[in-house]
Amino acid sequence: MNKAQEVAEEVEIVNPLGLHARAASKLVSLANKFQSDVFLTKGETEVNAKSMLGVLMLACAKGSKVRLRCVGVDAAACNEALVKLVRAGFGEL
Amino acid sequence: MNEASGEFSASGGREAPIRVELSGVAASSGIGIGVAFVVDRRRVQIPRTKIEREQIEEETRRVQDALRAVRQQIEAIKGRLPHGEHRQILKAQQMMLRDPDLIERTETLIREELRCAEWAVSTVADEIHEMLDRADDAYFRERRSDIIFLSERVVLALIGENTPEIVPPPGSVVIAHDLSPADTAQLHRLQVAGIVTAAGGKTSHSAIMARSLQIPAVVGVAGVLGKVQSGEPVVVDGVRGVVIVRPAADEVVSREGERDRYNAFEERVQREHAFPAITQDGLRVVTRANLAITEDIELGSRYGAEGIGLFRSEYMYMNREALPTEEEHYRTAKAVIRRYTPYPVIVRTFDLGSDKPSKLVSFAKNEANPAMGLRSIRLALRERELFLEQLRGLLRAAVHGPLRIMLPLVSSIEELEDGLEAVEEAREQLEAAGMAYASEVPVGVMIETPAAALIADLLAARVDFMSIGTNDLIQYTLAVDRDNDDVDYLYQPLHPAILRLIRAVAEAGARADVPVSLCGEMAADPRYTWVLVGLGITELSMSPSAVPVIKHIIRGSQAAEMRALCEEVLASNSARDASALVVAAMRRRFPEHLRHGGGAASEGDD
Repeated sequence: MNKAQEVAEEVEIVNPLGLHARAASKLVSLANKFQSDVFLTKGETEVNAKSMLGVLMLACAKGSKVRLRCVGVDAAACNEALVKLVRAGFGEL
Repeated sequence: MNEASGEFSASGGREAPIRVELSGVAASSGIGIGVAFVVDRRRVQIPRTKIEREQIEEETRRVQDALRAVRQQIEAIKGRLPHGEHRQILKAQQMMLRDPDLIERTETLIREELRCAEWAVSTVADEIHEMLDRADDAYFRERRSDIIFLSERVVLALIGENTPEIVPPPGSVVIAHDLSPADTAQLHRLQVAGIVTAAGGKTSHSAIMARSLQIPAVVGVAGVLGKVQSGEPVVVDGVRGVVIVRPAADEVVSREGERDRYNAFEERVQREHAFPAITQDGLRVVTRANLAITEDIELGSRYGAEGIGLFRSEYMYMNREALPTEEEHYRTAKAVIRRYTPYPVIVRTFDLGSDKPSKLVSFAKNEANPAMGLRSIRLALRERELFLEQLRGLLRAAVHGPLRIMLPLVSSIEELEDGLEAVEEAREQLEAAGMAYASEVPVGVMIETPAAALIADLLAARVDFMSIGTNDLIQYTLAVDRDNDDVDYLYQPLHPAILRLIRAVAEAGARADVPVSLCGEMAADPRYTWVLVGLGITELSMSPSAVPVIKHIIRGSQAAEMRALCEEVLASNSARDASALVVAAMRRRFPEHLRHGGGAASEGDD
């Protein structure tokens, strides 16, 4: 059986509108496709990245630096996919 | 936001019946003049009672039921809207209602603090509100109102009440602190003249909704609620972002002139809605309306539709506690037939699936690919009793007028045969029960998959009519989910593959002498009218409000020029080229139609 892993990476929110509702819904939908637990940290606050409200509550404007932490059997793939989405500006650039 | 200087004293202006000009954010263009309808939505009284330990399970279940009910309310509202940004917004709201953190926190409050469901939900909403309050960014602070609206809906669902709808008389200017996206969607149907809100900015969800539904709106007009009373005249200038309360008489006249020029075109088209759509060289095109039970049954006839080309029966399964009975199917269909006779009413049998769910039908959980999963006719054939129940109701209703039965998503001859067999079985059941039913009810299929389009000749040999559902046909042919922002740019109605499939179906129908109609959103879009008719489609079914514009285009055209454009378009290699050709031709001939036409047309080019 695969062991649970933890992968974390710092990313910057680059799209002009920040993590607004539609971007957040993309992030949450993608996070939910993986088994791993996914957490998003900004400053001192850590939220569940599978929760729309959690992600919105972080209120990440453009330029915010967030830490993405994936814990689970597919952590590496999950981290890779999410980081790619964030770096691509959620397809809004 | 700011009052024009000198026209309004700082305090006590409430009594002065003088003109006030307020500025705000121009959120949706167009000019609306009407009588103010001030929305005073009292806050919901939230029951705050402690529960007993034994009730924990029940309260938790109530929360889940309420969340689901509200998701379905929003689904129903969403389903009535044309495609566009407003649907994305409602989708994000549905995601919030499925939020694991929200559900967990609510359940914790019920379990550990023994709070009743209403209390727990509103506490969680307050907590979220408070957190968003601390955000520096205005956008995130604006999301507070989304949360409040949603939690109010959930609490009302828990109490067992429906969210009170705002019902202003037609022609009103709605003045509110803020409107939820769901409210705005409802106002769309009520033909209000305009919307003014105190809260909100250009990015507020109600602003986006108003824009995409073409209701003139000015938002972010701070303090508007204290400056206008219901019944007073108001001008909403959604072009410049200005609201004029109690305008001077001569100003009203000049504003009306402006509005009228804007609306003149629209009105002319509306006035001629009942004229048949016959091209100048004599080709008759039938235009029908798409309708769901949740909508006003009169809509189609009001806009000059020649019957109902698509009755979405699946809405009879949503937002309710019990399955529709044979009797209900009978009564509903009969009511629609009565309204539209002698024109036909084409009822699509329930088109449900895990992406378009009803809590009354069990679906495969967690389908990896709902669009390709157990849905539509596949579900109907598996839930045969449900299907027979509906078919019996429809066969009985057909005694009262020209009803036709349409089977969705049929992709093979076997599926069609199974469907036809079910119709036969329903007939036998009625015969055995001694019920009156129509023996000759035309049965047709929707052409929604490339497979169905490619075997249209085989299907045509066994059905009485075919109807192309372009929304799904495009999705399946191009392998594009148009609700997925990453790929929706690939959703191209003029892709050569789509044009070829539509033509193939039209030709197969013509050869077999089986009528072919088209009932997707393409039918409502003035840009595509020439192409579709040019391809040989002579029956179009669309959202009712689009009927007059489409008919007007047809009356102003010649079939020969439509075919000529079509030939050119078919010769292009790409959707891009095809689209450029079509848009250029239609802009040249029908610029006003494109500007004022169906909502879909205002959402930019393909």
